Amino acid sequence: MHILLIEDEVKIAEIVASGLMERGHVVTHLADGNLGLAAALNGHFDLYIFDIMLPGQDGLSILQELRNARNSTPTILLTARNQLHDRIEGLNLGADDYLAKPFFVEELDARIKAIARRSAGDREYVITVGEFKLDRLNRQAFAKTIKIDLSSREFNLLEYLMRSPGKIFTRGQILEHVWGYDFDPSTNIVDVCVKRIRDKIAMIDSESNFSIIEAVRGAGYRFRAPSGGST
Amino acid sequence: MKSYRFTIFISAILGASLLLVLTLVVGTRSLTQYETTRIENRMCMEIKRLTKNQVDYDQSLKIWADMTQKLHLIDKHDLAFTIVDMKRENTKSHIRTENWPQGVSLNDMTFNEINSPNPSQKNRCHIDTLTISNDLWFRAQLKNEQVLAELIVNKNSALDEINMSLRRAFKILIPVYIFCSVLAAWALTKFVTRPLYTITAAMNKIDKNELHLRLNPDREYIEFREFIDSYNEMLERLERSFHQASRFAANAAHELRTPLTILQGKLEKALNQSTSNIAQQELSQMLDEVTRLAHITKRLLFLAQAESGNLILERSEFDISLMLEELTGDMEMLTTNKHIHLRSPEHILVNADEVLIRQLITNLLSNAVKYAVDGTVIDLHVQTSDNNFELRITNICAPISTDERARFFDSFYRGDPARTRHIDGTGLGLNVALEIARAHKGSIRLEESSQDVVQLHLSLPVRSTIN
Repeated sequence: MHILLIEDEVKIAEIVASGLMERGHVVTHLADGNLGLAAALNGHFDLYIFDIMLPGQDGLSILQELRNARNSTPTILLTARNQLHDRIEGLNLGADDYLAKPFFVEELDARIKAIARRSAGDREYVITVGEFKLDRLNRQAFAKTIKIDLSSREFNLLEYLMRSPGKIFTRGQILEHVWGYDFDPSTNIVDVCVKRIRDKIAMIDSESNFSIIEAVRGAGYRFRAPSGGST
Repeated sequence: MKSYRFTIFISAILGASLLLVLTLVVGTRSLTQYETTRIENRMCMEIKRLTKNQVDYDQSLKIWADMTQKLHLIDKHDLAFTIVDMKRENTKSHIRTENWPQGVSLNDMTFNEINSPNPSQKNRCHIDTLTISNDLWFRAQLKNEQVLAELIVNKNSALDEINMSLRRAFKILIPVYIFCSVLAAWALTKFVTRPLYTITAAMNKIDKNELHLRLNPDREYIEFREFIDSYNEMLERLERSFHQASRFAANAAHELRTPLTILQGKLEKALNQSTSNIAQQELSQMLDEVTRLAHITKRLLFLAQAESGNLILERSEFDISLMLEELTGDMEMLTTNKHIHLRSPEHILVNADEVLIRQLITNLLSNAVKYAVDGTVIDLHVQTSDNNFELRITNICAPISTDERARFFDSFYRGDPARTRHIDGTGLGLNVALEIARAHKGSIRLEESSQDVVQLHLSLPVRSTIN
């Protein structure tokens, strides 16, 4: 994906740009609102990421001008401000998503992927990793074709991990993605939720002697990649 | 409590009473004076009649009775007269009423003017008073060439009638006067305090969202203008510091979030790139701390924003029953030995800010879960009406003293530190919840209960319908 990032904080821009590039995107970064708008109007991008507070034109007015010019490229807004109505105004102006700082690049990537799926028509109803299958349309999970009864949170958590098998997700990242950022991070809700999923899988698949969701000690969790091998 | 209204009312009544006493004294005096003059004139008229014609004894009796009536006397013994024929010096020519007092002699009289050369002075009625055995009497005397006449009337009896009428009038007038003065005092009080109330009402209209408004002193009384001017000046200062506060909230948000974003991003990147288990552990723990810091920052900034009045609600209609079920589910995950019992009608749609309400309920619920005693039930009870949504969250906790109850909603106050040290949290959750409820014009109250029960009552005046 070719992404246009307009962010005036150089350090944040570096982190976001390098993080997204590591995840396979091409990122063009500009630090000024006016230059950014010109680039957006003249270039071809698959996605825009705008900071709201910018020198020159701010993110919201860039978005407004683009939408007025019939440019419907998906847009994610970033803000360091505390104002909730930025979020609301941004979404009303036609932003596709919104992230408040501080955020995880992992979460930004997840949002980008979700937008990409939506704009591609999202035919990826089923995610399969090894013997596990998620039916996103009916929100059902299967282990070896046996249905696992998951709550909405459990389903979302499993989906998040299964989209990047083998990748470690910290508790903070999981919490932000599944519960949103308003949930108190000092709780152990992620661990409890993971344990519940494990227990439910174990009830069905009592033969397996390892857990499909692997705890990386002290760091977080990952979905065991199929190459890790079932025996 | 001192009441300005009451003070004015009492002063007005006292003033009116003083006025009443003065009026009574002066009025009685002048009326008596007037009546005295009338009686004296009458006496002169009567005495002239006596001297006009020759009067014999029988006629004198008739005249006596007649005069008694004309002077409005009840008893004819309160009136006496005597006529002396000046031409005949013998005593037979003296006619006097039988009650003519002893010792009152005509020789007392001095009629210098009778001898005066001015003829108009002749035939003049002379009036004075005299004391006869401790009683005051009016006396009228008339002397001409032919006759000397003297008429005396008991003063008290003569004034009896007017005194009686006055007393009768007072009986009616005084209550009427008191009634009127109370009424007038009340009206005065109202009138005097009215500007205060109109100014107060105008002041109340200026809330934190309309700090740019000022009171208009032009139409007020001159005495109140100075007062309004100083109030306006105060508003000016308030508005300035208020804007400083909201600017601070916005700036602080930016200044704090930017380094947090950089820190979190760098740690995340380092964690992704590290291959060593120990490094991963360290980085992950650091990341957790940054997340916590970000969470506290977010809450503090939210409170700063709410307190500076910059909270803007984005209302939409959403199913709060579903939200409650979901959040109850989350909370149940957080606790293994406490149970959450939700009693709520299904599919209640409310018109409120969904993001904020989710935050509010999360905070109230996590508070209940944190402090509930193991093995107890946390009870959630929802009641709705057309324009109100009410949620009562009840849990059993370690006993809370009255002191601690009073400080229940204070920032960073998390109860007795010895008791709650092991419980995580920033102590801001309830404040955030409170601000969100306030932004919805609702309230959160700590209900009266026994020491080991906490019942929080959330009331939101939002349109709610059961679908």
